[in-house]
Formats: sequence, structure tokens, C-alpha cells
Amino acid sequence: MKALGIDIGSRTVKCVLMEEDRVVYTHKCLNSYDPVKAVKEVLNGINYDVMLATGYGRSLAQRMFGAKTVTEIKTFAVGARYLVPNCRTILDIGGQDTKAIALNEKGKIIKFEMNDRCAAGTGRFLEVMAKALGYEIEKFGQAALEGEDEIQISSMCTVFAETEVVSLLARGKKTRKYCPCLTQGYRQPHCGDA
Amino acid sequence: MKKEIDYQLWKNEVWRLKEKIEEVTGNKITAARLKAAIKMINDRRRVLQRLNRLRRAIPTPISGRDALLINQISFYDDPKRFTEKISALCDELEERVKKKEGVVPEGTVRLLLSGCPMAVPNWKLPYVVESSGAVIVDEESCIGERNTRDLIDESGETLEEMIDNIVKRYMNIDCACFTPNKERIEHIIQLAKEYKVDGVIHYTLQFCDPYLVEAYKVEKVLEKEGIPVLRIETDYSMEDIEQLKTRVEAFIEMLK
Repeated sequence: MKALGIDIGSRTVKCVLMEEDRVVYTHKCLNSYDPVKAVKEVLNGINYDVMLATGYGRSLAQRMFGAKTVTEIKTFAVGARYLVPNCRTILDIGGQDTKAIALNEKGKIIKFEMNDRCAAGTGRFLEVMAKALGYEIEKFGQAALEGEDEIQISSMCTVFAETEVVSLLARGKKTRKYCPCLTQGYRQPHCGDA
Repeated sequence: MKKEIDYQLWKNEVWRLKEKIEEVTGNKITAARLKAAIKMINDRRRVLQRLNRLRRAIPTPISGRDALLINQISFYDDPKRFTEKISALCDELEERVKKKEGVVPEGTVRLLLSGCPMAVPNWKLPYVVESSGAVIVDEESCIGERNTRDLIDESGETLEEMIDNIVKRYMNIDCACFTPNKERIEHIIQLAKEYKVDGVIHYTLQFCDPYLVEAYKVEKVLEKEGIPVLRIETDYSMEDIEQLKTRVEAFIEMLK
């Protein structure tokens, strides 16, 4: 049996095709103003027997493609244990929110925390800051570890923090110095909870 | 701490309210009228208590949304008519409970909603919860259990005695605006057991800081008791509905 899992997130659409216990195909694309189109693009040419949808667009996939739905929190729990069988803590930095999930020794979810409507603390924050400083998101974390911890950014809000970064750049500060303070917030509140 | 001096302060306010009502309405509040009114409002509380007791049945005979609406209406409907109608509804629900006819199938996740009152038209969270496959079986809230739990002592004969009894009844309330308010947490645990809930959703209306502060204590104590809690802070607007759905659905998945 071929089972397709699709995650329709706020920023990207991802799919994984599994045949029995093996991953046979994966694909990822940016989401857009038209999520149905993005999903169709991801599904193009894939044959599957059942579909399970998760992410903010999961009920859309249920209506449009007859998918079964489950929340990201549960799929993370199952997926993380599949990849790392003794995993107990999951941190998901998503486009729209960040989730910290605690599992018991059997892999059952015992608690989760999630930020709500604000973009502060989300993956989108990191994306905006990386762009403002001219980094690709994939390299931003490494740059943070190598940067010098001198500059403090006092805003948590994505919009205000970007304004702060832009004004500091205009005063001649070097970009490398920012990265640690812009990623620090993630290590503190989220990991503290988890 | 609720001290004697607080009762005195509150008592003065109730007397001032009595005078203001007389001034605004032109009606005199006499001992006989107040006695009848106390009885009438107690009857309304009794019928709501009866409704809530019926919700303890498994499967529960009425949805949380309907029960919340009934509690909301109780504030402005004619009290006599309301009591009569809800009494008739309870008769019907009693029959359903006997026949084991639930509003949801047996085995549905049962939740207690605890925290801020939900006034009309605030049905957002109950809607999200009950459209995600769970059922709310009680509201530990001022529009719910906290409003109906305590009756006013009906034994007062003079106006002074009756007003004293009103003062005592309202001072007994375990709203988060009191501190240290330990009785509220004990009460949530008791309700969670009586209503056989699988979990508690603690709801704070945004900017209602007393409940927001107490949410932390409630969560710690309930976790120690082995009762799962989901803390939600939101308002009347619909913009965070998808985020709420994700959290509520994940909480229900966790309880299944």
C-alpha cells in the first residue's frame, strides 16, 4: 500500500510517500496565496492509496482530496519516533508558530506548548531577519554560532525587530554581530519549557 | 484573604445598591418582596444545578454549547418563565439519560471548561472544542457553575438579615479576583472528578489578568493530580481560530 502524507503549512507544502515502512519519495514547495494550486503541484504525478493531511491547510485537503486529517503535533510525535526511536522532546519552528512537544518513554504526547497569534518566536521571524541581514535561512543558524555577541535587539515583534535591524545597519553596524541575538530568543523560552 | 472588614465594605455597597435601585425604579424593597425575590432567584439556581447534574451522565445528554447558551440566557430571561422551561427540559433530559441517549456517543472525550465567563456572543472556544470531536460537560465559570453553586440562605426574615445573607453568598464566590483563592483549585479538581472529565481547558479572556495569573497555579496542581490541562488565552475575534483549532485538536488527540 502506498500512503501519502502531506503537510500544508503556512509557508511550505511538503509531502512524503511511503510504501509499507519505506520512504519512497519526498517533495517540498513554497505555499502561495492559492494553497490548492500548491497542493496540486506537489501531488502531480504521484500515485497513492491513502492520504493523510496535516498543517493549517489540513481541512482544505480533507474537503478537496478526501484526505484524513491529524494535527501537526501528533504527526511530529509519530514522525520523530520513527526517525529517532528514543526521542522525548520535539521543537518545531514553523512558519506561523513554534511548537515544543514533550513525549513520554513510549512516545505518547504528554504536553505541548505553542505560541498563538503573534509572529514573534516563529520561523517567519528568522526568515525576515535572515533576509534583512542578507543570509540564506539555512546558513543563518551557523552564522549565529560564529557571530560576536555584542548587539542587543530589544524588539520581539517581527516588524519592530526588522526596523531596529535596519536602523542599526544604517548606523554602520556589521551584520555578523546580529545573528546571535536574533536566534537567542529561540534557545531561551522554547528550550526552557521543553 | 476575605476578612471581616471586607464583608463590612461589601455590605455597605449592597445597601447603597438597594437604595439606588429604589431611586431608579421608584419601587420600595420591602422584606416581603425581597424574601420572594430571593426564593425566585434560588429556584433559578436550583434548576440550573439540576441541569448540570444531568450533564454528569455518560453519555452526556446535552451539548456544552446548548448548556452555555442556557446559562447565558438565565441572566436576562424572565426568571419564573426560565425556571419553568428549564425544568421541563430537565424532565426530557432525564428520560434521555435513562435510555442512555447521549448528544454524543459514549467514549467521546469529555472536557471541563474553566476560567473566564463567556457572555453572549462568545461561543468561539466551545464551537472549536465541540466541532473537533469532544464535548464540554461543565463550565467552571461565572456563566456556569460558579453562578449557580451557592444559594442564598432563605431563613432571613428582616431586611437586615436578608441583606446579610446576600452579602455572605456573594462573598463566598471563588473568582480569580480574590487571593489566595485556594478553594477554586480544590473545586476544579472536585468537578473534574464528579463530571468524569478527560481533561480541563483553562480559558482566559485576553487581558483578564487575574485568571491569567491563576492559570499557572491551576495547571501545576491539576498536573500533579494527573488531570491534563490546556491553557488558552483568546478574545472574541475570529482571527486566531485556525491556531486554536490546532491546539484544541492536538489536545483531544492526546486524550484519546
